[in-house]
Amino acid sequence: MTATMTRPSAPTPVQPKGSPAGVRAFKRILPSGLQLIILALLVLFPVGFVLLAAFTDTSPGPGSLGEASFTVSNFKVLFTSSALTAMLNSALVGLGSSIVALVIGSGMAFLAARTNVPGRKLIYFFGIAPLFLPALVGALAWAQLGSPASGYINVVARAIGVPDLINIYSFGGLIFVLGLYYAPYTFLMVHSALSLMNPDLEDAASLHGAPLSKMLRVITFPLVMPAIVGSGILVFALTVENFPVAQVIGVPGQIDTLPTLIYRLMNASPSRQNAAAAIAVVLTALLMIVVFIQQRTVAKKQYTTVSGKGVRARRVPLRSWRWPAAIAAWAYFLLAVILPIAALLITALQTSPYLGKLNELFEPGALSFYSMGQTLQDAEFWHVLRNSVIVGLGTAIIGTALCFALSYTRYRTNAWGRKALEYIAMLPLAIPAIVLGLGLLWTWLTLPIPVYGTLIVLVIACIAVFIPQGYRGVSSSIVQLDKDLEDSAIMLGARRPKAISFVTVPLLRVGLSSTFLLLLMLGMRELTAVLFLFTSDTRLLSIAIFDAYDNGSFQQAAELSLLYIVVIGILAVLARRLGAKDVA
Amino acid sequence: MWPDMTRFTRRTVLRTAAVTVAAAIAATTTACAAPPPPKEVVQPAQNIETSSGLVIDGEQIADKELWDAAVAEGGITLYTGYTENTEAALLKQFKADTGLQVNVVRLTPNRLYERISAEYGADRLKADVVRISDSGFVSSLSEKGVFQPYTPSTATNLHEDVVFDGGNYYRTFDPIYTFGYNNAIIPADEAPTSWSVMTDPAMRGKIGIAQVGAGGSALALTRFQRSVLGDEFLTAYAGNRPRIFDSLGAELDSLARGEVQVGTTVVSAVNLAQARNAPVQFVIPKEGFAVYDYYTGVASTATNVNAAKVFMNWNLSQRGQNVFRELGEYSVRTDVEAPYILGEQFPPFESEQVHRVLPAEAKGYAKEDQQMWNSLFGYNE
Repeated sequence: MTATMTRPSAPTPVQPKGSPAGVRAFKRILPSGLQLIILALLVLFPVGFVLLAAFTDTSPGPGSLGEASFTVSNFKVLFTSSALTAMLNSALVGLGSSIVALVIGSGMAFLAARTNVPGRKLIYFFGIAPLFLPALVGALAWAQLGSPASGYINVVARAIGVPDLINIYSFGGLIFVLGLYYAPYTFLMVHSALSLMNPDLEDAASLHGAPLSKMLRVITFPLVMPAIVGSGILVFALTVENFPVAQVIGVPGQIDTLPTLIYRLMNASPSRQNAAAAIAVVLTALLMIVVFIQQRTVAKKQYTTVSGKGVRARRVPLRSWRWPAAIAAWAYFLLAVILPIAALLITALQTSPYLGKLNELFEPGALSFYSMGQTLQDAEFWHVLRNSVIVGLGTAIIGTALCFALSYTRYRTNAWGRKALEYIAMLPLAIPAIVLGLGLLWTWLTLPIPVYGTLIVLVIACIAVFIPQGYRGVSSSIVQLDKDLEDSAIMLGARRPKAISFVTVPLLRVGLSSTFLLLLMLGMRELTAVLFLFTSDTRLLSIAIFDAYDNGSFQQAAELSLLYIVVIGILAVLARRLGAKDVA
Repeated sequence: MWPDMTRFTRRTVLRTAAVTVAAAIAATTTACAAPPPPKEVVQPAQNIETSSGLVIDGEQIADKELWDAAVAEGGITLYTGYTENTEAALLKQFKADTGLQVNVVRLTPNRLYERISAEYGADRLKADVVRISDSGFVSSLSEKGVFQPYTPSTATNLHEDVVFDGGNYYRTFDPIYTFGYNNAIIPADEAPTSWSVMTDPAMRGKIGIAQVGAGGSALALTRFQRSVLGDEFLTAYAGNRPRIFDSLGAELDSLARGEVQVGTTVVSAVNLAQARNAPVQFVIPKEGFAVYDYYTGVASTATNVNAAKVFMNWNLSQRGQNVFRELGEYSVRTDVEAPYILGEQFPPFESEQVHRVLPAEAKGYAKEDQQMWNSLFGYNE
């Protein structure tokens, strides 16, 4: 998120000379038309099928379209006590966890960006580290730590004489875990706003004699307010649509949210797909409103804080609060990363699932690597791992290429329908992953293209969910790049494709490689979008973990989670290495 | 939205990583002890001969022609709703007996039913054999054409009501659905002996139950509870703040970890969990318990038809049925005894304590029971 002075100039027509008008028009429509078809398959068809299922009495599938008849009775499910409670729960959980994430994220961002706290750079790392832990894994770990009676924290508390210290399967627990793992989003947005802020205004306040506290109150916080509010709304949207944490932490405490209700209706016997679709429509509508507000807020932010001057923002001296602040930041890292990983490790190594007293852990034979070794020798594990890597790489490669094509069309051509392309590309931001997954299932079961049951459909799902992130990543770099560079190549006789591959793409490699890395990570972590789409041959690591949990094997889920973290870590380092070499 | 990694140096990352690894090593130094030996709950076959077909302990499982064709195919793909661990324990014996491979697709019965319907509709069903509970599910799959008729040569000395739709699918065994307790928290001499423990105010908030939509098993239990223990029992149960689980597997794990102290469970799952050091034990309640049907059939989409037939033969043979018995299920053969598990002898299948819900009854009551259960437990209304 660097500031830029260059604004995208009005696109100028890029016309091949001397073609007949019809061919010209066709050439003008072809690229954007093609992209529109791809986006329609990724986004519009799934949404259409969810709408269809919500307003008809049969669930979409091969041959069912002819029998479907219109009805609004599916929406009756909204007025049942389950749905009303779930709606209320979703709103409260979203609100609560955004507040938690805001407090943690903004606090950490302030410490890392603008104070003299000890170990400032480490605190930046703490702020983003939880991003490497998929929310599903964090939730499973916290179920181990904080479950009533047998959670490790409760076992330790009992050893020092405090019975029933915490129950994670509660409203507070759900809000806490979501807040913990979504705080990095607030952190990143607020941190960049605080770092990029023009210090002139603060200097002016100081020069005129304002004490530090007044300067912070009157100048600094109002300036970053849009970033805080924007990230708060973003976290609200993300937590409301979150499925894995709600399923692992909320459902055992009988707290249903809209995504878990959709999942349960889909898996009820008999399945109630039309009711699930009706709830999906409502959830999507709510999310669209929230995302719309968020986009408006963030747009305002850029107005105030972005400046071209690379002046260092001033540091606030914390004085006697230096160490307490550092300890608070460490505590966050402990809660979000260290304790969960330790809990997963103990669970994976325990030879008996029951732990009544703490000292039982230290008895001979209580812990063993035997089971972990068995998993590593299991062919199924390697098969699942291979699937995950293929889907992650597929999402990253195809997704980056698609997002480049979209951004290029949007910002470098006058192609027909390029604004529409942008709108559709950003649409998935407002569609919950569980709804998109549902729509994709129906789309690919119905369309006569045989990709259902292959890894391709999982790649499609991941790309569909993460297009907005990828598109944003690429287009933020493309608008910074002066288009004259590419045009110079044209002037010197290169054809357009050659100019793009030898001038534009190399100049964009930093932006493209970080988009690649982002999509790779997101694709490796995804559970919700692929939940309805996987088959036996195409299970991913995230699915295997969820299945192990669902089948009641916490130990296996913990083993796989640890290996999952290791794989994600290795990939991040590798991708970073390769990307860095390319840039250098 | 991705972090700018240039913000922190490689050294800070390495330092943090080193601290994390050191903490991990410290936490696991005790982990080098040898694991307790895994206990086997099922006896392996004594004698396997393959010179003229497959003969196990003197019982002909497959004739030469079928056996050679099956070996040439190499194995099957099995779509199953049977509990993961139990199916794995059974298949371990099947593989040891036959050398055939089994590729397993395991989902809870309700999800399996949806999955098979969707895949069959899209012409992508890869199953050679389908195993599922709930008579409603299996008969609906049969109507759709998912099965093909087959008569195993080993299908002799069967109880009544085993062969369905002209051999499209077979009742293969009956799991025992009762309740269990955590025997690290509740000592054996204080163990409950009656379903009334679920309505005991002292157990408030410490009991569990699996949701009624989890498949034929949960519906069978509900039918038993309503017809034998009465609706007032279920009402009191629901009022005693039970934790509701999405699946039996998750409930047993919670029971083993002590999150709940008493909960509904299946005997074979307890049997296997105890072999893996889980402190759980089942109860044979004086009021009796429910058993539910599990069905198996050769899929019409089978590409490994011969291996699938050998699998069916083995399942219904004396050998296969004894494996089911040792796991803790009731056999469908009259020449295989009632299970004897963890020191407890179960009554004969015909006993009054054993409540099997007949398929017609199950289908007739399914909707009503489910609605009643959902409204009582405040679930999915």
